[in-house]
Amino acid sequence: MSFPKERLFSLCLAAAVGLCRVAAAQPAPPRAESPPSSGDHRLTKAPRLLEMVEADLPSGTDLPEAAMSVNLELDIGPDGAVVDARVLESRGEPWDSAALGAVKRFRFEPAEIDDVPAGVTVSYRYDFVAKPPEPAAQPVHARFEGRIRDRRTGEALVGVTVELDTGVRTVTDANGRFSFHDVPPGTRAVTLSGSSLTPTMTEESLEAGQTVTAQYDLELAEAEVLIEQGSDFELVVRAPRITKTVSATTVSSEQGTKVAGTGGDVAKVVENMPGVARSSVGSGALVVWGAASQDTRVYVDGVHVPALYHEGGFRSVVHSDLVKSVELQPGGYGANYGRGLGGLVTVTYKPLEADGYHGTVGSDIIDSAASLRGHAGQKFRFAVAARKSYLDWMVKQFTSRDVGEFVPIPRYWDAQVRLAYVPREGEYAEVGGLASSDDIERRVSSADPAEVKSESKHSEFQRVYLNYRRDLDDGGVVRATPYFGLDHTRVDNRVGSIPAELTVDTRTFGFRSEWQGPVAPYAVVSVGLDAEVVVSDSSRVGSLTTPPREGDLRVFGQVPSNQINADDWSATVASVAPFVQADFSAFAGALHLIPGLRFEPTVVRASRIAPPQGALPAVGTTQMDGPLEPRVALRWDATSRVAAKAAFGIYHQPPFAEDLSSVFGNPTFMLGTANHYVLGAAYRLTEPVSAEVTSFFSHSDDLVVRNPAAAPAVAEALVQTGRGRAYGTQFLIRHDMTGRFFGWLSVSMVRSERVDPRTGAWRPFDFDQTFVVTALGSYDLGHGFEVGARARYSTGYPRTPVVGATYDARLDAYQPIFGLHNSVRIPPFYSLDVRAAKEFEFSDRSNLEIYLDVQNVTNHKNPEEIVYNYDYSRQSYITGLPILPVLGAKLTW
Amino acid sequence: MVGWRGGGLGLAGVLSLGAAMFGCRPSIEGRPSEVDAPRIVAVRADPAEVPVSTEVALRALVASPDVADDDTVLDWRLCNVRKPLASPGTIAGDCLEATPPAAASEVVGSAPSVAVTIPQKACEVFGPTPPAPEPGEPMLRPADPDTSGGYYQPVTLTSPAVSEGAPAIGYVRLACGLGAVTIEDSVEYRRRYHRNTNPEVAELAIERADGERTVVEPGGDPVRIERGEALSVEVSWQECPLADTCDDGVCGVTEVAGECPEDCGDPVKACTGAEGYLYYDPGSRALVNAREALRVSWLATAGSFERDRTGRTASEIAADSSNRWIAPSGSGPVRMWIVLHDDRGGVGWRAAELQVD
Repeated sequence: MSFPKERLFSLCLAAAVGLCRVAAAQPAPPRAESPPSSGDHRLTKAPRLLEMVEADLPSGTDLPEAAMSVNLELDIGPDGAVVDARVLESRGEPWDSAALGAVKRFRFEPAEIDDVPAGVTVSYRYDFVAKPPEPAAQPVHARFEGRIRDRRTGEALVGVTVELDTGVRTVTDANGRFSFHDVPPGTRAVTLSGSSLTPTMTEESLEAGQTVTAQYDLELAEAEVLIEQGSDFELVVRAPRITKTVSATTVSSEQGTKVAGTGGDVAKVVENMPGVARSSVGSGALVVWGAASQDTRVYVDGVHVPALYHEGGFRSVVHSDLVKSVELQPGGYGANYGRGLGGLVTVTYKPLEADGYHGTVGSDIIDSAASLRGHAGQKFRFAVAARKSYLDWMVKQFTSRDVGEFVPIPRYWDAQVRLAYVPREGEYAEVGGLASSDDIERRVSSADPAEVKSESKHSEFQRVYLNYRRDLDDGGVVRATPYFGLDHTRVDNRVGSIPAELTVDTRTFGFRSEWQGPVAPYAVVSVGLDAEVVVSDSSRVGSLTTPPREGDLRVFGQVPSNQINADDWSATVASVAPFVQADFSAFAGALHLIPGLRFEPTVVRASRIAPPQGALPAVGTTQMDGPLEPRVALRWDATSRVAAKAAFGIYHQPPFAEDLSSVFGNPTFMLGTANHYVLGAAYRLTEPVSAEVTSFFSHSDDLVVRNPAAAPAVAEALVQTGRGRAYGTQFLIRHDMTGRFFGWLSVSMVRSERVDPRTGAWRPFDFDQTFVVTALGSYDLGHGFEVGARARYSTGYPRTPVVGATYDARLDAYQPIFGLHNSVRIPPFYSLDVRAAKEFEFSDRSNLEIYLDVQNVTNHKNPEEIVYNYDYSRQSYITGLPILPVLGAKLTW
Repeated sequence: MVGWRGGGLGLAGVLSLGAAMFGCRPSIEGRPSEVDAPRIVAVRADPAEVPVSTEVALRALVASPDVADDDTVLDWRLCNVRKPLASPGTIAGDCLEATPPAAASEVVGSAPSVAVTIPQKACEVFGPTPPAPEPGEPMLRPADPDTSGGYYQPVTLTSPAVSEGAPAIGYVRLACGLGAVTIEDSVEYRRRYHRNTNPEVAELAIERADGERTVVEPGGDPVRIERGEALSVEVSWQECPLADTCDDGVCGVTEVAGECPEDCGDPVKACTGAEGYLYYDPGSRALVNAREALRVSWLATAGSFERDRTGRTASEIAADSSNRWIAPSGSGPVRMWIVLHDDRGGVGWRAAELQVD
């Protein structure tokens, strides 16, 4: 402790200073300076201390460890002044002198003898007492140190680079040790890398004023390779985790925001991952491994959200500055997730830190966004972010005034709020909310009443959640995420007098919890519960075939059916799924076997089992099922460079509320089913370059399809007899972000098919893309300059050719006659996008980035859809985006 | 987002949003108003709406650059099967086969126009009456009505000389009543619904640039115009009263025979313009008063119309429509047709002969 000297002591005279915490001394009964000559004299008033003086200690004198007293005798004159003082019980120097010097400056109210002021002599104990320590300033930094060893031999690993997400790094010494001082507290990402090593990341929770000591045991597959060529290794973290599934592709926020064509939106990078089909311009639909876009589930920090992107696919619904990473698992994922037949997208938030106030403000021609992160003390942290588009306003400024009536420019906004409480190291609670809103409106005027078209769509969702995590002493971890959400969608389209209206209001109650921890040196187990209740109220007016479903025979611009109907219904889909999975490792961690089991009891209730019948009351129907979903994954690191992997899983997906209409769908739907089979291998070519090949096969049953009958039973417009399959191979060559460059080349060869319910034959899925090739990279030129590029090639979507046409006299329009279903394709797509950015640094943590993102820099006219003339005798193509430069700026502090 | 699922989001989104938003829609040759080969452009049933087991006259308008439309012999067939529920078209594919199955299609005759009796089961096959299920099977789904509440018996027309033998589809609106509604609504509908009447062209006129207006009479002499001359072609139809008044010559949507025999007696006095009619709105599940929209199709063997189709929406009161037509640069006869379509399947047309000098 180092306090100012003058504040060190409290000098107390017990009789006079009641404020002293430690009672000091009681003056002894005074005695007369001159004893009375006769027994008639008596002390009528005791002296009372009026003015106390603190003792002066010589410079550099430290406090005594414990309270200390010097007993004195004071001669007090008739005027109250201390005439003399003597030490009765010494404590040595400098205490005795300091006490004498102080008491001689005391002032007393004089004593009285026989009611007359008189001199007296008193005993006095002078106490040197430390004042209660004032609150100490909170430590603002943590210390992080540790050691890295060879897991097999226990020997120290020398030269491993340890880097924190704050940007600081160090290298392990001859004993394998490393240390960081003055680390900003919080959950820090720790990256371990080294010559010829794959950068591996883990997390540590650092608390201000504390020292965290970590020990990482790295398993080296072949020692000789390590010595000569570097090594691949697996990180064994103290808090064990279930090994990732075999097909996951993860991109950090740092990399994702630099990919050309994404406009700095990290979640947009998902479109470039292997196994993902290129979505049509303005769509943003995620077609993963040939699965329908709605079969891929999206989670943001454990909270299910209905969409990853805003309408039009320009932006994701989560601000990039809150995002730590985005991961796509196209199939074969573990038992902790379910309810989807396709892939899984998980957006992981950055942990909130108590390291000051930071934020961003960004803007380009599409939208503007801002974020702010901060804290109140060390335990309370927050982050807010918001974005709003103004592309519709921009378009009106630079195009004709009425363009908005013809061109549906999406308008959107989103916002996120996060409030975190970190009561102690290893415990974290966060309350947060997400909100997103999209609007599209368009009206096409025409002199022909049948050609007057209007299109209006509003969709929004809100989520509130609580994320709780606690690290257990045994290395385990407990997580719980309850959440509640509201979704609202309203579609109001009209072509002439033909309506297509749909309103869906959904309330979602979700709860995810999981315990994960080691049960043996070779086993990590995860047990949890994944519950979701979705309650929907829907209404629909329009044609059964508008909008079309996957598999419908149609062409762009075709006059919609004017046979209409209407329904309003409610639906509840509830499931409470316990799951368990384990990660068994063997051969010193070279082999990982991850079996899992998920039990998915599901209840589906629809409010109408039959279409409205006059005044008859609605009768509901309830279906129940409880399938088991076994899943297993295997990973074998055969050598330091080569790994093999495999996975299998059974997945189920509940029906969508929109399909549970007794008029437009079928209220008795239950679960669709898919089986995923995955086989792959990975090979590390050089230090930062890895190659991966993954083959997969999936087949789906009980898919919802149109009822092919001319007059089906009532409430069976849709049936659950569809079947699908997808198979293919994807290649990924990835250069990790070491040094100045990162990038990857992905090649996906996928065939996705469905059984045509009319013919029973297999035909290509509407969104099948046989080849998708994506090459992208970003290079740091230094001095704040950065360039990037992305090249994409993809096979066109299949389409059904029109082989003739008939004139429909009632519609006064031609109706196409179709050939073989999905037997032709739109020509392939090719695009080259480039990105250039310049960063101006103002300080360590503040900078301004100005970027130019140019999509389709070659202005290649990519066919996006086939169009026909009025009688289908001639065809042409709608082309997609022309060259589209997007200039933006982003200020970070 | 929640919304149209099952791939519908993809197609709907991609096509209506993506393509329209950013894409460039090309201009493809060929316009429906240009008649450069014989083709069927309208099919009319008289009466326009009939109950089952009723005879109806069917006539087609064949637009041709060089053949009188009334002369074209057509093969008429009744289509007697419903199209698959999910089929995007309006008629069962079997009925469009070159040699349709007998169970699907019934030969009516070969002639420019024919008379046909609507099958007894038409309201069961194409209307609101649920088809009879097999014993032990659940009730079958009836057909959905169109946006005017109508159900239709399809017919097919083919001719080797027209559209390379490709079939055209005509319809007869069926008077079937309502489907699954309350008894009160059903009774009210049968009482107040008045069957459709075909629209008729009241007047066809041509207005030149100098303001001279010429009324084109049916069967009259060709109107002489100059090469490249820009004309305004105007068509009008009967103005139907917006408010129902008994004895105004039109049996309105709120009038019934018992209360206004002058208009709604036998025969019912109908309007040949945009009629009002009673409509069962499936969204609100209530009977509402509606009014027809009228579409006008413009066709000519030469020259070019500014628009292929015009018309009036249900909310527009005007009973006329006009279009701009540029005469061809070469001289010769030009045939022009103006076809009226109402919302309930009614059709009427007028032809005009022009001579370009």
